[in-house]
Amino acid sequence: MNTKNKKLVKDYWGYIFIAPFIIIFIIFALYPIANTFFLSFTNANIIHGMPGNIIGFNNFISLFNDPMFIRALQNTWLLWLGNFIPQMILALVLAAMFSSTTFKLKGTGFFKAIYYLPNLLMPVTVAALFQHYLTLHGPINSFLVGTTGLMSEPRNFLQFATDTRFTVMFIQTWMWFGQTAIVLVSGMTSISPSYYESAMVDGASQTRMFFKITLPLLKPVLLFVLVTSLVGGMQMFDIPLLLSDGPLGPPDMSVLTMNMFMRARMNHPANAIGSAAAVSVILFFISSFVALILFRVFRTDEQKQQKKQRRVETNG
Amino acid sequence: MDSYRIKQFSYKFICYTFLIILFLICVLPIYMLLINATRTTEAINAGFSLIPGTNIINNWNIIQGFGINIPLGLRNSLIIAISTTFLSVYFSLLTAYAINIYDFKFKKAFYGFILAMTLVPMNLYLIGFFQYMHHLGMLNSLTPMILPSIAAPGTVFFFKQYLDSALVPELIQAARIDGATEFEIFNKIVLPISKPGAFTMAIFAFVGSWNAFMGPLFIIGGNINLHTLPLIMQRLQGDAFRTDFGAIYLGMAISLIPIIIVYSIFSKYIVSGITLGSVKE
Amino acid sequence: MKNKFKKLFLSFLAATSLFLVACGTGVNPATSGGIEVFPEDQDRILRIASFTNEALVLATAFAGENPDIEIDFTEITMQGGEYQNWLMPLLALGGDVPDVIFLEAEFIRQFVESPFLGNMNSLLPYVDYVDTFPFVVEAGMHNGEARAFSFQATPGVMYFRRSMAREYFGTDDPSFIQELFSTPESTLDAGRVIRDASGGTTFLVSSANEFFRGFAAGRRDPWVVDNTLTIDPLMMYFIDFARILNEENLQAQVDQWSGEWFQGMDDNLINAHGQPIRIFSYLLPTWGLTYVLMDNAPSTFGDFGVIESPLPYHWGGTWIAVTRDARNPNLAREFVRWATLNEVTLERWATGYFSNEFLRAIDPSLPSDLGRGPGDFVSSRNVVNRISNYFEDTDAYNFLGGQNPYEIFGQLAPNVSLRLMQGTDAAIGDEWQDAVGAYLEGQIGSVQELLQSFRNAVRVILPDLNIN
Repeated sequence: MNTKNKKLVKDYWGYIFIAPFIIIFIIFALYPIANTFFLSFTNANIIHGMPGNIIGFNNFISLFNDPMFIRALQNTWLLWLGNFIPQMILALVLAAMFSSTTFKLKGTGFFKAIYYLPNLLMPVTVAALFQHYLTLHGPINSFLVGTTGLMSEPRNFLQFATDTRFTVMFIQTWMWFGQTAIVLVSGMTSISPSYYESAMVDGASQTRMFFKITLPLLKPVLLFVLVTSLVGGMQMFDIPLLLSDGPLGPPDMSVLTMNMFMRARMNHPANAIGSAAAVSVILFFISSFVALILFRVFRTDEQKQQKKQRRVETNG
Repeated sequence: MDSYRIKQFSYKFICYTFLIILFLICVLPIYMLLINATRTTEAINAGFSLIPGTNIINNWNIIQGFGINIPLGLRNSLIIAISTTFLSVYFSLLTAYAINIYDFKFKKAFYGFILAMTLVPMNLYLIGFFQYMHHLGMLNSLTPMILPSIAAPGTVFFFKQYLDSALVPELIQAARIDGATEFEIFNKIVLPISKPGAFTMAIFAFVGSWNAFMGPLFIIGGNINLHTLPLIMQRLQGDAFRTDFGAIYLGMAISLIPIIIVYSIFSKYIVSGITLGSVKE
Repeated sequence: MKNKFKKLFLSFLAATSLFLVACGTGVNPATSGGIEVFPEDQDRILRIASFTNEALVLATAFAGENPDIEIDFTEITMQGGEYQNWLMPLLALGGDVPDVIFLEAEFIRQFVESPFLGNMNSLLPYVDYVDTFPFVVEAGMHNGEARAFSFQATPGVMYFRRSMAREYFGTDDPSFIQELFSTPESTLDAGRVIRDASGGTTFLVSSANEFFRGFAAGRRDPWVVDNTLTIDPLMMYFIDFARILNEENLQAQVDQWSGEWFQGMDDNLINAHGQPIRIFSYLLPTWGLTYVLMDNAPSTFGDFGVIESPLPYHWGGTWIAVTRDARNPNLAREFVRWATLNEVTLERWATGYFSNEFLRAIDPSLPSDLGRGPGDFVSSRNVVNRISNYFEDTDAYNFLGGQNPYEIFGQLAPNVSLRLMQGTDAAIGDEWQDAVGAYLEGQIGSVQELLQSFRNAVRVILPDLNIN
């Protein structure tokens, strides 16, 4: 009896601890988010009056019938995957190198600090820098054509779809791989070294340990990285916009992302808040759906055990 | 013995080469940025150089001449960044800890809700938030810039995952048996254990707040005395009308330096790599 | 997991329906105009929003003449559209809005055509007194209401390099050069002469886009007619013109506002092969002289001349408007009148009277470089005619090798027509230029695809427009 009371009293603290979050959320976030969902079912327009008239699912239907929205969807996925995959590989390799107990590398702190630097820059700054570098008579062309002769004629990189896309992917990777590595390292340092010690006693190699111990134990942190990258990637916006210097991601809308599409609908001359809200909602559901899959895939063995146990309990 | 040493050496050689190449890729553009901050506009347009120029004072004067009040922007950015960092990290850890350790009703729904919130795109939320703050008359003040960071779903998500790996319930039980209150347990045990994760999130929160543009634009755009550095830097670009590149680069460099400092301070805590798992198996 | 999300979605629906009832955010656009009696001013603080600190110069000078007034100024850049995108929702919400807003040509129409500006018909008589150029007033009119006035007039011209003119055409006499650039076709011919005589190292212009405004201004139809996207034949001709410039190497492939564009003005542009290349002419408006060329071309001082562009055009300009929900409507209108429809102010603006010393004397806390030098072309014909001679032997005059810019601007301004100007111009025009650019570089293969890409883009930014 005593233990049960104690447990209840202790658990009451759960409510107290989450109270600040809930209060602030209700005050500041609930209305805007709910409003967005609501607006997605209207034809609200900034100039002609909000909230406008309710038009049911029309916004969603026209978006899915809109080849440009579909293109934006494809671009968003392309640009995200093209940046996330190299970024993840790079970050995992780095994290493994930095937390390796057998081959101790010097100066890991220093390197980590440097690799995070690109993330500290404002996207505006980064885009401006790269734009400056990539012009027809700019430094990169001068280097490739004049100094080294690797190319015979200069190339107006930002006027070509593949080049622009590649540049966006490169910049995104460049800006985020350091942060990802840091998160992975902080996760790795939380793995008890006793696991590795016993494995080494058993004669396991570095790579084997990495794949059989590190990665599985890193699952929660990996999940975090995946999901946050997914959410960020689906919302990718500033780099493609600022680099291509046109609201619709020229040339020929090759770097138009869903978020840029949304902005274009929200701003002048469309002012179509309802349509923009619908894009937001679609983005949300896409992210949710993929995130659900990721959660499934990354369930740790503990959680699987817990679920099994619960099933046994209810059935038994 | 020899083959082992050769293996060690070649492994380290490959590693270090790889690390240094990455180092150059990361540093070079930033180094160029800092160099350009010291050169004249003509020199910048003429090409790239690895050698600093002597025009830094001049560039600073140009910035001053436009009335771009960098110290004021620094102050505003610092106030907002420091407050939001502290609030978001502390309260997110608190919330994540609660989900991790306690078993209360609706806990699962609550956590699911938080996860769902991390998936909400920021943008249109902004217009709705802008409208809402306008109705409440809270625009052009610092409150809506700072308070909402107490509810930071993404950070809660990270800490939940982090605590899943790092927190051992036996530790908490032990402390309870010793007679500590729940609050004391959180502040004296959980916080120290979470240092690497907390400082990691703190850096991200600080940088996110420091570089934020759209939020401050809508919330405090109307009050020029509250403008943060990004808003001021954009003004510099507009006033310098793309012609005073030296001044613009200097502005960018100045916005960069405080976060580099903050990062250097924080990264020590992450680097010290406290191995958790304080309960040996 | 699925249950969680179902719960979430349901709670959202519940929340939104609650909010439907509780929070009506409808904005009723009030009708302005009609009887012109404005409510009393609430205080003596003039709230101004603008996108550069130019507004602060006028505001300070105004406060200097009216010491009981305080200025509350905020500035947000228009570089990436931030200013417009911040201002429009703010005005739509009403309530605590600025009294006075500055509007640039790129977005003036969207605000003038919106319900959020105040009626300034009461100031129209002053237009006659100072003889404002018609197009300046035209841009600010909507449905018979005057909603914005300007202190500037910004017709476009063509600035050319005298030394190159002498080298390739034997003379730098503007009237002779003018003949060479009297039509688009003759312009192309002149461009070929330049290319051949220089061995391909000198280009007529930096890029084909320099001519875009000229072509756009010469159209018969604007982009939107009867809510339908209209591509005027002159725009199709622009594609051909641009292609010729591209194929025949008459343009340097240097984008406007890039570092190289400025270098070309100052004659230190080097291409990717390491060879120096030169640019013969720049198509810029009135302010292009003082704010762009003179600031960035110290070495070529005196080597520029000015002629009319083969296709007349107009570029930029800043207008001032009063908001519908202004707290101090009378003060606001007084400021607009003082700044745009007052010959004394305009003359002072044009002759650089509002210098650093002058401004600092009124308010010592102002930044040290705020003052404006002489040279801006103002909107009053009276003032322009009166002060035209002032500009003989000024820096601008000498920069142009002894040409009075005011004279030529003065000749062009009365004939500028903005009847084609629409709120959607900037957005649609940019998409057109992007599509043409991609076509010229080869990213887009044919003119058909160019048009398709253009239509696709316009459909995104104007979903309710008829596009065939």
